[in-house]
Amino acid sequence: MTAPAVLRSVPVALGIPALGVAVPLSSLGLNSDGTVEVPTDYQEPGWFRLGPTPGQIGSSVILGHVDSYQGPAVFFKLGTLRPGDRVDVLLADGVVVHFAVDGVATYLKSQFPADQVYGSNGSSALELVTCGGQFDQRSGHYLSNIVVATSLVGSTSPAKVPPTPR
Amino acid sequence: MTGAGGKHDHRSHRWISVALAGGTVSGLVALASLVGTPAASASQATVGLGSATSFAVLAGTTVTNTGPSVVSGDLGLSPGSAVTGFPPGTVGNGTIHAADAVAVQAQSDLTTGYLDAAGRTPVTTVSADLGGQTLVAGVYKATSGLGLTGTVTLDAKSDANSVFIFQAGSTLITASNSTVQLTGGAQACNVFWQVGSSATLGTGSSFSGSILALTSATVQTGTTVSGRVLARNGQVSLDNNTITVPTCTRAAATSSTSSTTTVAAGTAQSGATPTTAVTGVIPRGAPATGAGGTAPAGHGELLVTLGGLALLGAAAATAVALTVRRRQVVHLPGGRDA
Repeated sequence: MTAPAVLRSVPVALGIPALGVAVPLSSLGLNSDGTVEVPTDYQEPGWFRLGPTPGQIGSSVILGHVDSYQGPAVFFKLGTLRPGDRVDVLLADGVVVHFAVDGVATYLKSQFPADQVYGSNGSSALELVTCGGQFDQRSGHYLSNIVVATSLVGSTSPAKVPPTPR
Repeated sequence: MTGAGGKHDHRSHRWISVALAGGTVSGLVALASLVGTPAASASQATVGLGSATSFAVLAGTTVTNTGPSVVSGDLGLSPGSAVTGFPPGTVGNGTIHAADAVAVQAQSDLTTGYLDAAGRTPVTTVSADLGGQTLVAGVYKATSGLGLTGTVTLDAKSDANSVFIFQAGSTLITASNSTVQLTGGAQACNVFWQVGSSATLGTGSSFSGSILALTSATVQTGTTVSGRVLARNGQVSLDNNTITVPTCTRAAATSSTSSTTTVAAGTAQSGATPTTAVTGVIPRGAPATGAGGTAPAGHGELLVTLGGLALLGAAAATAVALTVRRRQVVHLPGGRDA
């Protein structure tokens, strides 16, 4: 990572130019069983709010559905991203944080590397997560997750001077 | 394993075309002021409290007050909704949020801030009683209870961005007439008390900083808090107190590696910003972010909807729109099943 980390601010929108994705973000917590909540809107990804905001040092995670029961959802083409593709996140304070794709990996859910995806390695990372791999008709679940790893490359501040915080 | 959560912020819709079209950001209006202050190059960054920043008092179960307490800032609780004692207590420069969406989010952000404060390193181990000590910016940890008899002095050494974080494994208990003294430009907004169980501030005391207590917080008679009393799961009890959300002044940079406080349009943020890694909660298992609507049916299965329409092979997007949420595998006479 070569860009300095940005201040904590809740992300409100996500842009992935290579996929033509520009959508608002919801926020996600945990289910009572300790698994991560998933978005209720198939067209709106969610930011995992029990972790860093995009741009802070650590791994910020945004999850989105690959499909609904009826067809493609917002992260349908996530697996087609390539290293160098840009991912932008608009924060509530007006800052736009820029990330570049480092790699795309598929993990069996039984081997999902939670510590690697959610934990910090000392740099500022944004992980985009959806489902992929084979779909198990009987259980109604995909067998794998696709994780797009990105790292912070810069940020752009809003035109206005931010007000003094209290 | 589909979650029922997912908070949708309706404000975010209007941002999208402005913010992301063509990559320019001119015309954006800041939604909220920045939280926290940028750290000087070598010290701890402040603990971000998100939407809990505006709260002077936040509880889980109840907020109970006796006497004409004066709260300056928001007062809220979630998931409980019982606030008693207001009046005679008053809430100024803020709103009472009883189990509403604002309080829910504030508790979530308090959780994140609590975990942040609890995880900060490197730590200096302190004795169980802070009385009589003068401490500079840093992280101070007591593995069990933390106490204060008399005065503890927090000295910012002329750096107004100095951050003081206290980590108490169990309780925080301050004696009657105790004082948290700020000197050298130290600001209450940069003092944090992470409390593993409950906090009790003794009568007639002067306290500074934000209490982030996992269970409950009790502020006894006549005590003044320049800071926040935030309890995650339990109650907050007040008694003839003054609780004032601290204002924070962002100091100008003095070293060559520090940041400036104004940013020009279209330029990247530069300079030192929080340098401490944040790891929050790590969920278990793997996310269920797909329902199979684009997955081909496998192994010759027949999928039959309640409407009696059979789907074979290719993506559901090419089929007649479904009106049911679940597909069922049916055993047909002579047919193959899963």
